[in-house]
Amino acid sequence: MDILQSLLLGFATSLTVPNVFAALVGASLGIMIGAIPGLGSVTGVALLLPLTFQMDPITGIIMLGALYYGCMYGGSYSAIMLNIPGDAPAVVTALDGYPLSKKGQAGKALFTANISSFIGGTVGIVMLTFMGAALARIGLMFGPAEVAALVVLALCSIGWLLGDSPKKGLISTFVGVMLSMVGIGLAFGQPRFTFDSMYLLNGISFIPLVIGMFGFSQVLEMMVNRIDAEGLMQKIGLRKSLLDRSEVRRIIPVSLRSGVLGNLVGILPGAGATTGSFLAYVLERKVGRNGDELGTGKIEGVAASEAGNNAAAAGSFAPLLSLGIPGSGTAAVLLGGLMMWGVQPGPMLFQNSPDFVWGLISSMYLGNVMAVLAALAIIPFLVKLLRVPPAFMIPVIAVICVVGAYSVNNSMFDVWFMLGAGVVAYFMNVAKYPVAPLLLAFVLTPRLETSLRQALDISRGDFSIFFNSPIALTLLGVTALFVVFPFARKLLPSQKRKMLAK
Amino acid sequence: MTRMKWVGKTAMSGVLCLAVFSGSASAWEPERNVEFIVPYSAGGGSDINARMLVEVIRQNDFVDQTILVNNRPGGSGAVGNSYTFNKRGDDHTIMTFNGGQMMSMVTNDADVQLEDLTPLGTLALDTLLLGVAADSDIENVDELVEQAKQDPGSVTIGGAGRGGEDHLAFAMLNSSLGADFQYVPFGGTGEVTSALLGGHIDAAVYKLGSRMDPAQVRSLAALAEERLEAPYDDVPTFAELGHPDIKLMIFRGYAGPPDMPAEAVAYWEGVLEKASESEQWNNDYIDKNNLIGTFVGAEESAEFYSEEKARYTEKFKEVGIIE
Repeated sequence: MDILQSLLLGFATSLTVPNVFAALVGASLGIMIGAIPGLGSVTGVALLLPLTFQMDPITGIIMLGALYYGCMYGGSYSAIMLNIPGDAPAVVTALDGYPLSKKGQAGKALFTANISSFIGGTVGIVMLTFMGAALARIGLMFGPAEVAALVVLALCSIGWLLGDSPKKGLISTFVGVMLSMVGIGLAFGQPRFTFDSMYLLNGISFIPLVIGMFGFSQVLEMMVNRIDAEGLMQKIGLRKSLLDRSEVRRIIPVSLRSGVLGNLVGILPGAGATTGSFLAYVLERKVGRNGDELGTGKIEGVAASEAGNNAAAAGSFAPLLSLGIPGSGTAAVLLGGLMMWGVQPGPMLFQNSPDFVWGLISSMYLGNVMAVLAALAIIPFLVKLLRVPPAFMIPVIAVICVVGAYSVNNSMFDVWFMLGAGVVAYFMNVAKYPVAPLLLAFVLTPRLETSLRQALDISRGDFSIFFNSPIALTLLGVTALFVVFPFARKLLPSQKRKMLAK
Repeated sequence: MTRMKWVGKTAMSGVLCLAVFSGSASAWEPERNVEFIVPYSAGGGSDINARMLVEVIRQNDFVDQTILVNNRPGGSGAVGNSYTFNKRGDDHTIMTFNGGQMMSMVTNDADVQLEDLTPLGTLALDTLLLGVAADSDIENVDELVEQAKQDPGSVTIGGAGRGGEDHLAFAMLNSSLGADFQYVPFGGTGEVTSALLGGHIDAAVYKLGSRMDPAQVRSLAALAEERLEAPYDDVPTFAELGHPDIKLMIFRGYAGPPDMPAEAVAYWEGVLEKASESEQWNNDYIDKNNLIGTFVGAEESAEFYSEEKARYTEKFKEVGIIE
């Protein structure tokens, strides 16, 4: 009851006219920033932060919180409509979102993304409200060994996405692993495979790679193969874009499941929203009713990914508020903001500045509601945009690809890299090599290498560190089950037959 | 804020420098927009430093022209460094230059080195601390050393990054305390804190600016030259504990392209000095980021940087980061 009372107190502070207006402005800005490939929530929050210093601290943090939420909504738009994921978690959204667009169901995909973002975000915030401090303590139990085991589980789950030809999928996965090795790794601190280029010193940038592999390869395909673009340009009315009751019923359980899982992953130090949305997607593939069809353009896939990453975003606030440890890049920038307002995050924050904490938490509810309203208002315009004929659409997407790749580091090198990646991905598509495993392996591998190396530094090279930790052992056990299960299933029917024969 | 003794001296020489140039009628001033290079991405420490400085300069009219911040991230600063290097002789280009940036020049054997740039001045210093979790049995540095001596390599010390400030601080501890510690690099101070509080590592090194909460982390000693201010005023420096060579002051300064004309160097040095004296800079930047405010002029900064570079090189060789 105490928590509910505090929360009401929080709403009393946050629900004023200027604050609601600030949330609306923040959410709308966030959706725009999130929808532009190359700009993400870290940049958005960093750019808006100085502006909010003129405001009352609570109004400022409400605006930033709403911006953060808006970014998570906007990130899915370009993934669904143009196959250009704006950030890493949106790669998973594109897996089903873009095929839906190709079928002429972009509107449905967008609505699904928004509704499940809202549900996932709400699940995340509710968990943060009632169990935040406890969850943050559990998160601390995840040291390098445990995180390494979790990433092994995620990496092995890529196997479920390999598609028709596992051999080609594996090759694509390994290319992703190899690309991620470029640059100075945290594990060794020495440049690897940089060919003495300073542009490769920090590794291959993810955004140019993903824009090239998803977006620009699409441009090439549309140019070569015009029929492909037709589904995309199909005229669709707003009414056709709305979800009917049975569809809403299909995505609600998915969003709830993915929300809980995503939130738990988001709390872990350094695991991030990508691991959250990806594991939610894999879970859906395993337990969902239409699991096997995921990847062909199913709203459940979009729902799992979007609910997962929004819940993970809320989860990353738990260690920030209760321990003063930022769980994500954006949370780190927000931490800077909190300190500039004279708020010291940490275990004493809930005691020392309750009005601020509960104002912030209630502002997340507010931000989430504002973001979903703003997003729903934008969808009809987005759907109209798709009616632009391909002759105009193709150059526009190409320009977005170039600008998006350039804006990450203000670097032409990234633009050339993006174009090259696009050409490579085009031929991969022609030869039916799936691109998604490459990108996911690219994101997950450095995390694994770093955690593995940290764990072995701690244990002085002794691998028993993975077996002495119950969490790591459980995760590795689940991984082993995942790997063995398909073979076991093949064996099982034959045993049954034997039993019957007896 | 703690101000260091030699700051006073350098401030004087800065004033002298200014006096010399303001005496001549043709003192140099920027005639068009000034490009302010930040070799790291938006939202990072150098970016905040640059944008705050521009804001202070703009509000106080220290410079008549507009200063535009240009982020050129990549290669741990190498992309921005070489961008500035290619503006040889340009008096309308300045760049943020900090300790970590110089360390990566050393560890990566970069094309552009300190000698290729023109230091303009230093406005802030940061230092590091060694600490353990608040619930740890270890109460002081001696106990930590004792434990490491009993079982060499068993005591793990976490820090942010490999080949950066934290790693350098670790190298100093390892070589001067006479014990064999194990370094564990993390992606950032947030991850270090998680690992420390979760009991996955025994101790950690962290910057003063990261504001570790004393309720969570017990600071054992500081790598500062003098005692720090509250809440770290009861933390001894390593010098007090008998290890005067364990000290590391990380600077936040500015540099221009090679062969920047002397009049322009003097002009920018003067602007930096005025900014360092403004109330706004000290309140909004130095205090809020928990840094040590200072002003070190162009010439002194150049000396300071090259001494530090020699020290960095030596220590990184000792831990095997460079050959």
